[in-house]
Amino acid sequence: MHSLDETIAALATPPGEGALAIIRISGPRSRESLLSLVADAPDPLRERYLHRVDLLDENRRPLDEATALWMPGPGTFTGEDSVELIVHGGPLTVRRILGALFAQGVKQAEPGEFSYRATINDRMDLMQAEAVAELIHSRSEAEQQLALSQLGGSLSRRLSPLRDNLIVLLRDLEAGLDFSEEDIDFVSRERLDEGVSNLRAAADELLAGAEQGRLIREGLRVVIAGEPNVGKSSLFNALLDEERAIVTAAPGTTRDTLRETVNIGGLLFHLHDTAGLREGVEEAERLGVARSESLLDEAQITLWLLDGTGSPSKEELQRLADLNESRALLVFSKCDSPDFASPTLDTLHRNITLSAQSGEGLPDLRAALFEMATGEKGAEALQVEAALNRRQESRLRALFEILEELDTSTLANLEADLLASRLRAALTELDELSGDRVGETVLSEIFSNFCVGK
Amino acid sequence: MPIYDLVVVGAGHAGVEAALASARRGFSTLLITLSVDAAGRMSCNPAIGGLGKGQLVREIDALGGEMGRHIDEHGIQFRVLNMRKGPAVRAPRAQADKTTYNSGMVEKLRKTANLDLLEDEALDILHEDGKLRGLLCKQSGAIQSRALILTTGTFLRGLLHTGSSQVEGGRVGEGAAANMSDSLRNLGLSLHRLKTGTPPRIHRDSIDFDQCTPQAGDDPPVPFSHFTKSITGPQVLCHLTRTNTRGHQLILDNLDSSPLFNGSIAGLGPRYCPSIEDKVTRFAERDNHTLFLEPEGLSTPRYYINGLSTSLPEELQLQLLHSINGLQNSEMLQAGYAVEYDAIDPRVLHPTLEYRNLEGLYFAGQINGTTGYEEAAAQGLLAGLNATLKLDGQPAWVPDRSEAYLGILVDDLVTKGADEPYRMFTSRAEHRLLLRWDNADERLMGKGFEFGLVDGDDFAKVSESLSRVDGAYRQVWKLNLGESEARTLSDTLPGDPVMPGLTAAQILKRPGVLWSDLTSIWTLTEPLTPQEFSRLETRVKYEGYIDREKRSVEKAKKLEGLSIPSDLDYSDIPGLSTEARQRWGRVQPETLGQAGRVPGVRMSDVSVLMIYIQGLRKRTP
Repeated sequence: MHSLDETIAALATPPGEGALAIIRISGPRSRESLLSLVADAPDPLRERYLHRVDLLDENRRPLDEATALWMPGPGTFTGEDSVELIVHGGPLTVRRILGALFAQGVKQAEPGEFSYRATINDRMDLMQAEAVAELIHSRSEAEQQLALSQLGGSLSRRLSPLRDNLIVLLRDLEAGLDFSEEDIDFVSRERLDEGVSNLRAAADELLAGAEQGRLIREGLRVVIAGEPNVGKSSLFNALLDEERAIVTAAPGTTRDTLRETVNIGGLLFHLHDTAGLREGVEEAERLGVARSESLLDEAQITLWLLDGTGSPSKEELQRLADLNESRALLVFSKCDSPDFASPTLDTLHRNITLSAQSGEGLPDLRAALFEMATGEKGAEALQVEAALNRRQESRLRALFEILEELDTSTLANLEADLLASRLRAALTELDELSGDRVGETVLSEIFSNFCVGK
Repeated sequence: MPIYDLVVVGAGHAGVEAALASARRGFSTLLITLSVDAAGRMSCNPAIGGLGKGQLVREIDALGGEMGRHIDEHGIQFRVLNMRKGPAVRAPRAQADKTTYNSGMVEKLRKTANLDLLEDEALDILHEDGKLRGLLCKQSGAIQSRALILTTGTFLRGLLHTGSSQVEGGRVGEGAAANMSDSLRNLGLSLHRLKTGTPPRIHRDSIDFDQCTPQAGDDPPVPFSHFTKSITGPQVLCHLTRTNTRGHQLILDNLDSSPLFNGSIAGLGPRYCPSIEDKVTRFAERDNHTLFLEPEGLSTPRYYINGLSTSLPEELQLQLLHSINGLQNSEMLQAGYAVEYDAIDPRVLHPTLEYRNLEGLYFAGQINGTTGYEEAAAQGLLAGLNATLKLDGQPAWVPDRSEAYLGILVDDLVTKGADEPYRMFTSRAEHRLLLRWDNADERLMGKGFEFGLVDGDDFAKVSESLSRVDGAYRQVWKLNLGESEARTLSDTLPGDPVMPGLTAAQILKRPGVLWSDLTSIWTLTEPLTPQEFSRLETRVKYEGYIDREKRSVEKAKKLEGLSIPSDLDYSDIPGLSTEARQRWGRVQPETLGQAGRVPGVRMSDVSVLMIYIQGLRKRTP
């Protein structure tokens, strides 16, 4: 449980797909966290009034259109200042909104924590409390079952070596502190450094796996970009297999970005059709171009579209040079046109030729997207081993940060008691992550591995 | 005979502290022991303190207990351990003159007002209609008292083993208490057997010290007590030697004659105080083990062979000694032995160490499953304090785990029990950085003063010293480094150059920098003593880490603050797992925090319990 001084948030409706979902925020910073999440804060923010708001993430990217309800305490479920957000259902949206809240220091509520606060603040009578108690119980049982069946194998299998190594490190350190008069050589800083850096690498790998897992659950952002009128919207429609974007022969038709999701080989790709990049003639187009630029910064894959019937401009060549080779794909459009000329570009980028009109080359593009998303692992990447949820990932990140603090020079200079204090903090994070409790583990390890005691 | 406020049974380290605390607080107190001359006797090793234990002694001292002052009077070698490993794991340790430690304590007890001493054996606890009445003794018959503390140590059905010989007794040459165990069973307590061992004692003149490595104490010796100005008694050396493969083979060849291995000892021994039989079997890869030759006093020729605890037959012990460098010609004055004794399961106690099922009856020391003089003394003091607070109608006082090792000790005992003899370690503390030996006064002396065990003048001196450190702390954050001073300092300090504009505190935070490195530049408004300087340095260097620990303490405090009604029936609570029902039913935790520390319960159970007791509170305003 978090301290009552902290603000907590969680999904209040059942997880999974649904038309709408409710996110509940409770605690002293509820109002503040709502305001920092919305594009144009309602002024005034009225109490108990449904405001329509645009939610933004920490990088000011749009998250969702939502309805927000601000309820100051004590007349709320928890008795604290609270906010309820009615958002569009779907795990991805909810996760991203919660992620934005956590990025500002709001904490993921533990199971039963809202009810806990409600009872602490005298907002529940006995009957209600008992009902909730049963609910929590059954829920934790279910969660435990779930954890056993779903994660039990993979996650704990991957966490336990990390935990074991951390305990060994602490064992060696603590043995030297609590039994310094005895026949134990105090663990060397070199060995600690080696141990910590191995742990760091293991934590890092798990985090990378978590990112990979999230990629697979949440999909990748693909931005279709290029100069005006090269056929971006046509490609967008072709990949979607519907006339979603308006296509005209006039350059600069697309001014706002459009977003749709397609499933390729089991992976979700969120396609963004953007305004062609040029010095816009009028304000609306200029704004569209600016949005394209910022989307490009956030793109996980960029499809850079070039008109296969012309030759690239100077600016275009410059932009191509800036694109990250592993995350960008060059697409030469209009390959069915009589004017199409095979590209002779001096770049290392992968490229595809296609025609949005005839559909020629589209399967190649889909295959290329899938390959870029999954990397070397290919379809195996879809079998995510350790699926971490947001809470687990944030614990793991905290653990990683502690280990990162303990770099070689810090390790060489830090007093042994402080070092032990940090390693214990790391173990606490790990235990909260896995639900284990260390208790006497470290001491037991000392007794079974060292001949201590006079 | 008068009706005593408090009767203490047993005059070991727990009993002595309990009786002194009670008598000094003005309560009429009776201390009953099998032998008054044995009061405060150190029955095992001739040392006080060490890691974890030294912190306990400092806490006892800050609360106005006796152990710290007493070892300062009778210590013959003082060392602060772990000086190079950070202030949070430093601890004082001292070798004692066992003879004068014991006789000095008897003298103190005799001189203490409100305290009577009685040589007798306690047989039975007297109670009536669920109320404690007193104690039945072998010679004196019934003694009436309002409260009773049992500190029986190793004497409850004590059995001494040396080889195949078994003698009843709590210590060599002393009898055992046979009847009290039945009395305790009749009160609903379950007893189990624990064991502990001691090494042989040898004659000083039979040791060849030239073959051993000398080990000296600190010079000057640092006192244990906050109230001792300096150590004045003569200081001596200890020596080190080692076992070897010849001795190990001797042990391995004769394991079947050790009661520890042939099954005649049933009790569970401490893993951290293994016998030499244990060491050579469990760590077969080691070809030697260190032994410490510790003098038992200035006026006795007895030497204690620390590290050679054994229950082998006498003649084998002698052969073993003779296999060791420096001890080839040693004369054994007393063979090592193992002692088995009855202990209760401390999970039936409140954290005040009062028995849950009989008001006014307290337990302290080895009977609760602990080992060590310091652990015993700490419990004795706490029991004596709380017994008398209760007699006065005052609220109980138990420090929590973030305030004192004493708090950790009793919380562990009443929450987790003690399957093997329990010893304190610094690694048992979640918030070790806060529980330093150097800040025991800051943490606890206010309480010692409040309870009337610490003198007003002494407390005032400590408060003044703390406020001097506070003042210096504020000052070092305001002292800024000038241009030329920065150059000078960069030449003398290790590491990167220091930049002008930095504060003294920022520079002091660097590893390896001490205030003495900065005195050429800055002077503090008020001069500090060396101890105060070290306190200032620790505070500045550790504050970031200490703040982090304090934050986690604050979080935990919320749960500690939620008390659980004592009559709670766990089978009444819907939604609780069966395991939590059973475990909590047994331990009867007093706060939600304690409930969460009971081994084997889940966080979801804690939530259910929390909601339930919040509801109860609403229902019964």
